Amino acid sequence: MALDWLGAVPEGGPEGLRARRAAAVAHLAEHGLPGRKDEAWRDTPRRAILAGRPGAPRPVEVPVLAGVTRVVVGEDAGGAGASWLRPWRGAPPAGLFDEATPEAPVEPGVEAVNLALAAAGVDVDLPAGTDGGVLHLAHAGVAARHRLRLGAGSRLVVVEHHLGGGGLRSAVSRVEVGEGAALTWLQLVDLDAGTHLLGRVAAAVAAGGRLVARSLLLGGGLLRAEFPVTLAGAEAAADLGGVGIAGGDDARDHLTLVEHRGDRTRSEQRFRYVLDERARGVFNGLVRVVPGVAGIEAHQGARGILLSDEAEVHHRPQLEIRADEVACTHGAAIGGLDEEALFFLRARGLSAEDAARLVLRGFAFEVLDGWPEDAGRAWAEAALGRRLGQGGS
Amino acid sequence: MLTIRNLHASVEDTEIIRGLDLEVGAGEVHAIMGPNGAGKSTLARVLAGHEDYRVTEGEIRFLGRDLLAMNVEARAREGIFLSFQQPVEIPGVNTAQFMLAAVNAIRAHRGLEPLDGRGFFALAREKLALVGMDPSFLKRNLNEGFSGGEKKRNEIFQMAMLEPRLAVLDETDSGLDVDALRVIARGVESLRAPERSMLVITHHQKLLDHLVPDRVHVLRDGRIVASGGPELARRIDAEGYGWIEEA
Repeated sequence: MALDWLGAVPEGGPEGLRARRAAAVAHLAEHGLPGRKDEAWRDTPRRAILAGRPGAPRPVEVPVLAGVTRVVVGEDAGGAGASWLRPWRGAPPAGLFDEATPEAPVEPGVEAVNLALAAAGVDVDLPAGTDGGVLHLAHAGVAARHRLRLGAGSRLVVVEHHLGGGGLRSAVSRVEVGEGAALTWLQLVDLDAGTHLLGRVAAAVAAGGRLVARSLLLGGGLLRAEFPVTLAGAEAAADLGGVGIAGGDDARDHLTLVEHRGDRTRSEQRFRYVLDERARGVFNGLVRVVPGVAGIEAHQGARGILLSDEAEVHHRPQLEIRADEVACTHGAAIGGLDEEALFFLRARGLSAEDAARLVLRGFAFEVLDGWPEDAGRAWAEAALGRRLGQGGS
Repeated sequence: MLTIRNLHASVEDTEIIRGLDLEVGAGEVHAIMGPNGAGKSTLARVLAGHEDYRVTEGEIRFLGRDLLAMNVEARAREGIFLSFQQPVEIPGVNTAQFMLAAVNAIRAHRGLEPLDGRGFFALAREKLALVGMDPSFLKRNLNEGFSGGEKKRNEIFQMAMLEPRLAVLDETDSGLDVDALRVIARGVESLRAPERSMLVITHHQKLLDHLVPDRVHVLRDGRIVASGGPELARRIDAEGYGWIEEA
């Protein structure tokens, strides 16, 4: 497989890092991206990513949120106003590329691409009991690799923001949520047409910790966001939600893997897709409950609204349960717009177009539940509304 | 206000309304009663313009105009209001957002300036009070998680906000306890006005104790088979429909 679509692989750095990048490049050269035989990639239209080398990232103005710590990934390096935050560029923090074990196998897919390409990111080490407020991570082109460690009882809100156009975007975050800590992860992907993203947030949540994640896959070609989450300690919780909106030949692809390893751990997942023209939405969701744990609660749901006959949505909700005391539900629904709802709204005087817009807006905006006002919620609402207006209704 | 002549209407090729005639004058309240399957809800949905209900014969004139020539939203803007038997839940759309859009769609049609947020909330608070609803309802998603009674109150609140010329209440009393019924009946009664007519579809006399109709009609097999004053509803309540012969 030709690698030119990858863009430039960074050079230099310590030997271990170079070895890891070389291993990733070798893996990709041999295997490329996973294909249809891989469950987690079966419905993902890879042609879009492989169609050709994306152009260089185009400069974009990154908006500013008042009172919020902001890092423009790849531009800012060194101190960033908070002692617990270290943006990096060129020289990653030790361990981020597993460079101590250069011979370790390369995880295929998003991870391999990111290992090969990542050239910047942040290293967050939030001390116990600290409220880090809101951290705005703006991604305007460079492939990013982040590490975030939240100490016991700490709190942080992260806005993972992807904007602009050009380049194959990649962002991988390795996250540890300490005991009783709370992390809210807000992914807002609003890229120009034809720009692709391979993203991943891998989180381990310790006892009593909580992860809330929202993923808005709005503008761009193929947008894939993975959320492997381990609920490692008792009473850890994850609340994952996402929405994908697409038209044309674009694709919105979420993959979740929530592993319940602690007693009384809870997870909730809610994913939505609004697809028009020939667009495709994919939700691959796996809930795994390991043997020997008790008091587990896991709920998972995916819904899609198809606005054209050619749009497709593929839902694969899966439960893998090896314990007894477990309450799990999963469900998936696909359909057009609810005709009775449209009739109701029109019977109140709304035009058919406004009724459809309102129903779609409600459907998609539900996923914004839990998105704090001070963390760019207005951006999220505006971007969501704009995408629904263009490709949706 | 409303004139229906020889109305025939079908759903999926099954004729439900079979030659219905009805005349409702301005300011009048007419009750439509009848056994299950008589066509009461079909009549309500035909009046509102539901596209699954096909009118095959007859005419409906509303304020002198051909109602059947108008689509659903045009009818609503002209002043037809249907209170749904089963109000629809619309996730993610809060009641205020929806109501503001509806009020302003109708105001625009009437040549009025749109209400701004402040004007809307002032009006909404006043109308909510008519049905004993708390302003916090406005923040909740439309009918989502509402009890049966709350949904019905919400319908009457919407009616109060939209100030229709003809309100069609499709079993607004169904599923309500005595107290809720009283609140809703009182709310509807307060909306009675010389320029507003109502068509009250009900199974029960109870609603009509609070909301005394000018005329009562019995619908059976898609036609009106008996008409009378309020005493007709009382007799049906006592004796059922068996005694009514086809007129």
